[in-house]
Amino acid sequence: MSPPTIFNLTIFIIFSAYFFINRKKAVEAVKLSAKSFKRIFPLLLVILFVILILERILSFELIASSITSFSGWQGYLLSVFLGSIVQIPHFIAFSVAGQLLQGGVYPGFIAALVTSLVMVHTFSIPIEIKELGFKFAVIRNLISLIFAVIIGVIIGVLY
Amino acid sequence: MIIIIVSILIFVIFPDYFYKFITESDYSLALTMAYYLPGFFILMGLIEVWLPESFIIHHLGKHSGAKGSLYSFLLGAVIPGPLYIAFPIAGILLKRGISKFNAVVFLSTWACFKINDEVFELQFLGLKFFLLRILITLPIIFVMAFLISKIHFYAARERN
Repeated sequence: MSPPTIFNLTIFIIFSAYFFINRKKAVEAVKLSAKSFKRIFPLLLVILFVILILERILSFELIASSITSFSGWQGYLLSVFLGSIVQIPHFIAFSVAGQLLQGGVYPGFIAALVTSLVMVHTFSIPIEIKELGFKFAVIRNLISLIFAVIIGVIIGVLY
Repeated sequence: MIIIIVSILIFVIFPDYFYKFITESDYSLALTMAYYLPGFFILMGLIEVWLPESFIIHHLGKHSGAKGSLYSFLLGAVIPGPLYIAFPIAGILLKRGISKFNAVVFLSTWACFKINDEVFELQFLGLKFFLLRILITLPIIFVMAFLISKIHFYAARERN
């Protein structure tokens, strides 16, 4: 079974168990879900649209392989930058990163790329700002960016 | 809003391109998100109705200590889904009294240590890279959470 199916089934089982325990509150939960759906869904759609446009303009394999021509701090900066603007499902990112690693790209750059890719999300930052506040979102993304470089440097030295 | 207007403009000016975009785009990402949505929104409703505030504050709040961080770590690692789904969940938890430190731990583990993604990392990047990244990222997540909660704390104090 795929992860989304497992996730949905688990939630469904929990929900139906809760429905038998307390019917009134379960209905209330569904109402609240509809409310948050109305609040978040438009923003999600817009963000998806932006990501789709970006995917058409740039291909991740192409830009990721451009790291090979850099070295030193420029390479770290470039990989962190790429990682933070690209938003793709993680398993695709990992497969491309695996190819890069076998292709002889410096492991530190790959670590920086992967870490910033999973932690820093430039294009869904509107959602983060809406749900968690502007200051929290900016601080979290900046600090994640800095630590992505640090993780990259440490792994580059140790690997 | 701006994006909707721009896309309508594109549609009016270059109808051919727009048609091509709609028919030829890679929808795998959109579909991945759509699969998660029903369970996700029900989960949000359930958190809001079911879990009493005292329960969350006790287990994930300011004074929950190491156990609270462990719980938020597990929560982040187990629930599948892309990161932009985690933001609303963290928002609700923050509103109900979870500490900033635990919120950051939750978000970071959600991003870095999602169990079903780590399987792929192990498969594609090899055991050595996988172990190194996990061992190095793990302490750094807690350092990051500490830093962010401190910075946020000082920023909030200056405003008052």
